[in-house]
Amino acid sequence: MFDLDMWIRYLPRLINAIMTHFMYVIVSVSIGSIIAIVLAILLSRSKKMAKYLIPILGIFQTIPGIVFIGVLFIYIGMTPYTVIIALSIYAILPVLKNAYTGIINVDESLIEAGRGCGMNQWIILFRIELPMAINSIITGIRMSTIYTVSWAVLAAMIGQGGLGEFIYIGINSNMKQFIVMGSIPAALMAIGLGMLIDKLQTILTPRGLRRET
Amino acid sequence: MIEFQHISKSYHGQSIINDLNFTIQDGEFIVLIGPSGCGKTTTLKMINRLISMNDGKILLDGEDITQKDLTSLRTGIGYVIQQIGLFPNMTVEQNICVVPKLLKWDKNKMKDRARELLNMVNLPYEDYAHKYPNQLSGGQQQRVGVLRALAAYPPILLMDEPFGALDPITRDILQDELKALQQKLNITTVFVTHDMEEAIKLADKIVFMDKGDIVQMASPEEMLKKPSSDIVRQFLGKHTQSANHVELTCAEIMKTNVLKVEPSRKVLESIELMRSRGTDSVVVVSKQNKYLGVVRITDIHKKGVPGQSIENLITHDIPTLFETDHAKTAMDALQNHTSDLIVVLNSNEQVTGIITKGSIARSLTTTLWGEDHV
Repeated sequence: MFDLDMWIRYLPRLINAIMTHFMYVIVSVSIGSIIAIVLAILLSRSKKMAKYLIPILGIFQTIPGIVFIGVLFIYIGMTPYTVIIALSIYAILPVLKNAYTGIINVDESLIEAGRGCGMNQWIILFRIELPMAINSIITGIRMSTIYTVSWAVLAAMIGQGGLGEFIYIGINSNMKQFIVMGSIPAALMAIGLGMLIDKLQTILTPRGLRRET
Repeated sequence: MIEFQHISKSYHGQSIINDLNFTIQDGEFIVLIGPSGCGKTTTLKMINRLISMNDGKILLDGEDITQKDLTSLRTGIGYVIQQIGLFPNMTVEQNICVVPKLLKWDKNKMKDRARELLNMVNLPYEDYAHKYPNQLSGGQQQRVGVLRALAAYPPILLMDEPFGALDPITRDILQDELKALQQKLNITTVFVTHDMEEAIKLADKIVFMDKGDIVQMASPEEMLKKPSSDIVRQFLGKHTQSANHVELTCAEIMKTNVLKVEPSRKVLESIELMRSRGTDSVVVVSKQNKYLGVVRITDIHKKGVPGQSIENLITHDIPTLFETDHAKTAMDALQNHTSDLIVVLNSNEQVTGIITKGSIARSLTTTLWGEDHV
């Protein structure tokens, strides 16, 4: 099963694929998260809108990635932008859902205390609501990241590289070694990024909110 | 000075406050009290504009609050809520300095102020400033809540049932601390509660509200002496009684379900009656309920003959008092007399009750702590 010669021979190309894959994940998750957090803040000001918008985005999420990338490909063409746009859109929902829940779950009495102290809406958002919701937001980012690592495989479908390339070649040519070479780094990337984000979560969670205190 | 001028407020067509008019003087401790839904919290929150009125004006030192900038209005009014509302993501010091920070105080000035305030309530700066709210007890948290409200030297302090969630002992201590602090700083305080005991303890003036109207506005002393209506009296309840304890009569401390028998009762029946009622004596009365004497279980054991009536066993040395007699007379009598029992008569010499040490204890409990403890 494990063919060392082949790994050595394809190593430069594999590293290239890993880098591309990693770039897709980081860029799309970053774009998706920023859009999601801004949306979550806006929606938390207007809960009525959230009631309609979040289920609609949920339906959107059920469209298979392969279909979506296909459709975007028709309009945008065979470029990395197609991949990044598609992945970014998919990355939005988990972050949006978590950030929204995190913000609206902040205890009403804290908001009232803030207003009573003379804080305006923005100060309340940045000094109370977002710090209180940070844990939940990062949980959403973690979910998005792990999903995006697997969705990014689809980039190869429109010839845009990434680890999907190895997997497709493996399937098309019936060479199991290529499939393994594509999927092991992808799996490791998902695990590694997950661990990294867990670490980030512990650091960013305000000390007064950590469980062990 | 805070002036309420023709304030009214309604939600969805339902009136919460109707035409409220009153004035709070500088340095006064005002307690708003009343049954739930009376509008006391709404009244409080209108002062810092957390709730807006439909009609009327609130003047702060002559200035209409709606004309003031919201931030400067609120930073000038300390606000404490029942849920405490300390920010869990901030340390004790950061919480205390929320308002100074909004006012852009210098860092050192903020630190000094936090230190000064913490020391005032015996939470040493070194031990507590860098703790988070979840590391403090409920009482400590609310102390910090009060300090946060006081941090920027506001001339006015609003408190919405601040001690409602604390245990009775902590509440008592914090009430004392608050009263001392309020007098020391001479800060105008508006305090909402539904606990009359708390109101009497803290207030210079109690504003009693019901259904959006002021029923009575008076000092605690005056309200206790002359409650203006039944609802106020009902709220004062136990306090009016305890305030008038010097006028307590025998009728108020006696036990009324007395075991009464006629002299023709037979010995064994009487024993059975006493056993079933769990008492060791019966009061003997005539057919007209006139007092004749008492039969004790000890006398029945000594001299009783089964089958005979109890007539010969009656003792007449039990002290008697009238219903209208002073309760203190009864207590003195119990204290000095060999008897552990006093029979209470009405003006027709009919038996209406008995007083024992037990009945006094019970009536004291009711007077001091209310019916539900009996």
